Amino acid sequence: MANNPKRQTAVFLLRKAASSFVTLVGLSAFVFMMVKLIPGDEARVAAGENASPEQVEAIRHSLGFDQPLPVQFVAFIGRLMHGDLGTSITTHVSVTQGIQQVLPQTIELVLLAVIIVVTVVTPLATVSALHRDGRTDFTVKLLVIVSAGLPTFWLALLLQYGLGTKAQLFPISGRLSRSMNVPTKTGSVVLDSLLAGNPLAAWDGLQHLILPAVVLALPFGAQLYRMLRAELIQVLAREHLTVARAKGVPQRQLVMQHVLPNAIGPSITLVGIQFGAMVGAAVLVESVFGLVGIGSYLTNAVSQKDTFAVLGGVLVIGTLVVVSNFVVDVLQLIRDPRLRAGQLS
Amino acid sequence: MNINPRHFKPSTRMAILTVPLLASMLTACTAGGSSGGSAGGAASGGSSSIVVAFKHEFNTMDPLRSDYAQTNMVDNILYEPLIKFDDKNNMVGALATEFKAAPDAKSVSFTLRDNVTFHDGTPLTGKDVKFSLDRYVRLGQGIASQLQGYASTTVVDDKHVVVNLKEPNAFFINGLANVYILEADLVSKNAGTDDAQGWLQSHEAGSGPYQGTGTSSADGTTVARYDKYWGFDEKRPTQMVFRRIDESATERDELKAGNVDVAFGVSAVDAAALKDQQNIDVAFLKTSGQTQLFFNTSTGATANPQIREGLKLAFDYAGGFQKILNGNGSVSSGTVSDAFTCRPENSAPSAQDKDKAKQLLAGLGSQALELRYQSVDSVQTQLATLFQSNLKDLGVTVNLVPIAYPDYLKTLSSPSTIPSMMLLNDYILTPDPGASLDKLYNSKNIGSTNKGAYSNPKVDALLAQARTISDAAKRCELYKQVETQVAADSVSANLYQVTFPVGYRKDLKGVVFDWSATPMSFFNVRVG
Repeated sequence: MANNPKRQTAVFLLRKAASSFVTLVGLSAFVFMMVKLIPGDEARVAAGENASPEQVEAIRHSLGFDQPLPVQFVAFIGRLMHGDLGTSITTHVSVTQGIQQVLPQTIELVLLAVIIVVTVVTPLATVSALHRDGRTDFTVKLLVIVSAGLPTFWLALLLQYGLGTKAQLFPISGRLSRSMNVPTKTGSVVLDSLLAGNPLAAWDGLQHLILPAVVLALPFGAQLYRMLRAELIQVLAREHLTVARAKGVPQRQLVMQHVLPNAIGPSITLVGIQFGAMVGAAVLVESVFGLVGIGSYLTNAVSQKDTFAVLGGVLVIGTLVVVSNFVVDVLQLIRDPRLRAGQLS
Repeated sequence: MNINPRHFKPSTRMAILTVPLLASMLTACTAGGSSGGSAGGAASGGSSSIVVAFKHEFNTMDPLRSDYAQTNMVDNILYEPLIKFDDKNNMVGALATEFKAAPDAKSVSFTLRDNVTFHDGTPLTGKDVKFSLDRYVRLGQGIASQLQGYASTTVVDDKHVVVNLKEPNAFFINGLANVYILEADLVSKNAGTDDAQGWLQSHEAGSGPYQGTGTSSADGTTVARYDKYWGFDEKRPTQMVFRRIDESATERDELKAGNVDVAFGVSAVDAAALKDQQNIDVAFLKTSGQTQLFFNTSTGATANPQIREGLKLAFDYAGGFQKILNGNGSVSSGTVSDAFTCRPENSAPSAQDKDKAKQLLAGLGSQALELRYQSVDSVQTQLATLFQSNLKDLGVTVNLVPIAYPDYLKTLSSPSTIPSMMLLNDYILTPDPGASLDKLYNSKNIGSTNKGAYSNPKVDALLAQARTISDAAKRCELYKQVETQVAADSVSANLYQVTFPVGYRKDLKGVVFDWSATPMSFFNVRVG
């Protein structure tokens, strides 16, 4: 019974889910207090600048802001259990609805950025590691350091101007060209275009995403490059690889089957963490490229002291981080039998 | 032990190196292939569909929130109010053909236009007017502030309504220019549990020259011309796409590339860069707003009128106008901006007088003052810094404190929390400034909308009198007295008339200031 792998896996998953839940509740409590510490009166924001004191008080009561803070928080958690994130004081509509409008845009941007990071960094780090301290390694390292050192906002403006405005290689901003129009279903322009049976619009939407995704990917790619290169160098130094080579294992097979699989463990963890971080970091890129995502939703919410919108936004990002970490953990378990034995025992 | 990279076959090395290279090339090539699309660079002159770039959040199309500029920008062409103001500041009918305030200023009667239909073809009736006003007051937010004192609406028949007030209020009718009429049946059908606020976020129930297309999202919306509009004009663009672009430089580049036809989120610097562009015009629209420095007239050092007068005289109005505003707009010359006709004659523009200011500010001693400003506005930041520098020259220390909008609203709740000085762009929404003068300077509004905690029984009495007079010309005389007294009491330093740079396609007409929306109304825009 104790060694039943199915039961061990179920216990492991439950333990992970429980710790994720506690993390999210703790995050909510922390953010709730932080928002309340922002100076300002959310009832007045909700009522409007020219509202009378009576109107402000009526709004305060209807939104529950006249209750003590612990009561407000418990009420929020209670609603959350029913899937209700509350009502935004600036939009006056459900926070869930507001987030549904903006989240898909950020997700498709971040997913593309992750794809760019992984597909570009993996071969670069491999070449760097194989040519350790050589000219190629030096050149790649220099490029990575420079791209990681450039402020994202500035880099976004620079690439937009150079590659968009001047060279006209990429669209300057937005989600679709002015001639394109697709009905919104999921909120992801590429997906909506495909669902509408309009591959041209999907292609157009993808083109609009490439430059922002590249800008978003650069600093994260630099982190991944440094970690993967270091891991590859460590693995390349192992003696069993010399034996494998002596046995005549082709070099490509050596890298693909023995070096990379043994080196990518920490990188998978890092990409999982980066996914969540990218969602938060996307706000600057989105601002320059005229995209409206969860980042700008949160920024607006914080500037207006929109408690429920902030909590909703943070919870969604928190959930994405928790889920991506969970996926990473599962991937690591599948990939590494030693880890699996350790975690499930 | 290292593996020697030379042990890899050349083909493997090439393959590894080629992947990132190919990825980069592929992205460039695929995007380049669409150069006829959004990055094409071809100006779309003559197109009857226009793209409008705007800044900041677009939340909803619910006219309840048309007090919010981005919502009003769109609602202004989807909906119509009962009355509006023309370019000569006269009140004219919109959905109403006739309107008349009762002599006792306790009610206003309206005759509705005959041939008005909502976008689903339903004719406008008095029921829609009653429903709309009742809904705003019931929800008590946003534009409901324009309906303070509203009691009820009596529907006389389909084409006649009387709006009843709780007490005499001659200011009331002016506020209706900002209050849009919804289709009662359609909104009721979609009321849900939130009085249709959720539904109206992305749907509309209006009768204006444009109708929604169901494409509303957080980054904008698209509206299409409604060809059964009672005032149909075929020169109106057939479609308007509103696109949120927060970065001024991005708006500028999109306008230059022909992907945007009107950009009103551009900074003055970017607007100047657009001036030499072929096919693009730039207008600096003078609005009804004024940049003002409000003093706390009730508490602290600025409670002393002499200190306030000294502070007013210390500011380098001319220098700020030339160096910060680049000469766009005008230096203020009164309590309300140049856009108003109802203001004291021969008011002189605000001017610096260092010697007199130094003399008046001597009473401050070493006391430091606090100036709060909204740092998100770069012009405000520069103006605040200029004022700090001007006062430093006179030996007065000013601490600059950025303030966020929710905090700004909270500070107004008590004279003790109002900062000694607050830099604001203040807008009065109707050419009849009565309601706004009342909000800003009537002592009964201290703790809510009276920004300087200002109290003067003479001003209170003038405003109370004006409230009961239904004759606009007579009210105007009283307003002038209020404005003169407020200026004499140095409640604020009046800096500049607020101007908005707008870049637009050269063949577009009607890019002008309009009372119904700041800085411009797309109701007026025509092609060719």
